[in-house]
Parts: sequence; C-alpha cells; structure tokens
Amino acid sequence: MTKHLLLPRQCRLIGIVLLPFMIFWLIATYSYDFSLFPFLRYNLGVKTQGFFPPGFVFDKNFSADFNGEISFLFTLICLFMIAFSKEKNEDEYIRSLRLQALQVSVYVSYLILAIASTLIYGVSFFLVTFLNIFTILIVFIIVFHYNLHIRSRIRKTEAI
Amino acid sequence: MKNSIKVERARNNMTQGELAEKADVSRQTINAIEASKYVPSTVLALKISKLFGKPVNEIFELEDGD
Repeated sequence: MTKHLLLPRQCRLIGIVLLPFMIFWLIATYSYDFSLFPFLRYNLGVKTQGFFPPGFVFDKNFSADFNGEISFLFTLICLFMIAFSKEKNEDEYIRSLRLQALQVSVYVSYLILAIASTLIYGVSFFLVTFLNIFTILIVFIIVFHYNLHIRSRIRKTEAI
Repeated sequence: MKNSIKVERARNNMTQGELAEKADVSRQTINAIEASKYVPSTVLALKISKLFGKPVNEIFELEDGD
C-alpha cells in the first residue's frame, strides 16, 4: 500500500459528513421499504420478446427502486473515503499500521462469514453476507484509528 | 532490535519532533522506534544514522530473539 494509492486528506471529512445521511437512507430503504427519493423508482413499460426471465430489465412488468442500490453504493464510497484517505503525516509507520488494520479486518470479515455459513441458513445467510460487505471497511476504520489514537496518547505521555 | 536513538538524541540535544522533521517522518514513528514497537525500514535506519553521523549498526543492534 503506497502513498499514491490513498485519497487526498480532505476526502475523509467529506465521508464523515455524508456517512450518517447515507446510513439513514440505507436503513430507510432496506428496513422500512421507504423511498427517500421517489424519482429513483423506475418503471419500464416495455414489451418483452418472451424469453427474458421475470424481473429482468426488459420484462414488461419490470419496476425497481434504485434508492437501495444508490444508498448502498454511496455508503460504501463514504466508508472508503474515511478508510483510505491520507493521514497528516503519512509515513512508513502509518502504512504499517494500515496494513495491520487491514489484516485484522479481513480476518474478522471471514470469521463472520465462516460462523454465518455454519449457523445461519436460507435468506438470512444472504442478508449476513450482504451486511458483511461493510465489515472489512468498518473494522479497518475502527482498528486503524484506535491504534493511531493509542500511539498518539503514548507519544504525549512520554518525555520528549 | 534495540536502538540507541534516545541516547543519540540527548547527545545531539535533539527532540523527537526535530529528528522526525529531519528524517521526514512523523513524531509517532520516532517514538515507536525508540520504544522498540516498530522496526524501521532500511532507508529510514540509514537516514537516522546519517543524521547522527554514525554507522547504522552503532545505532541499531540485533537482539537474541532476532
């Protein structure tokens, strides 16, 4: 993970500001089936040739609510911006902390998946895998910033 | 790996911040190296030894477990 693969520092602030709204939008759409932006409901009245499966884009009864897709996408983007924007002093030590945090987050994500695959079945399993997409980013953000915070505290308390 | 950065800093009357600035790293990095919580890259080790005007193996020393 080199310096060049990180986003500018300002991206984190944008991500932090937008994230609560995106989460609200995501929960409203998936948990309460509420379309925050009704214009994103899409209804395609196109006659099909008959060989498209039901629900396919060219199905004549096809209708979709893109609130879900877009809120999901923007939530991912916000988390990505928070996780992968540069620190003030982005040096080799910070990069090593990033790598450690990334390793922990991948472990946690696959651990959740392993537990879910043995204990949860059917549609619920797909819900877990869907939510697990966020795990890597969320755990990464928590672990990385916790480590940074701990190091800053040590730095302040120790004599210079 | 142990190191004598703290001693060398005291000898050169240098703070962690000053050393960090000269080595182009954060103060957290110098702190972590001093506390033996982080092993620096070869480039950084060479930079630090150059700043103190000493060979690398005089500042960084291998321990038994290394």
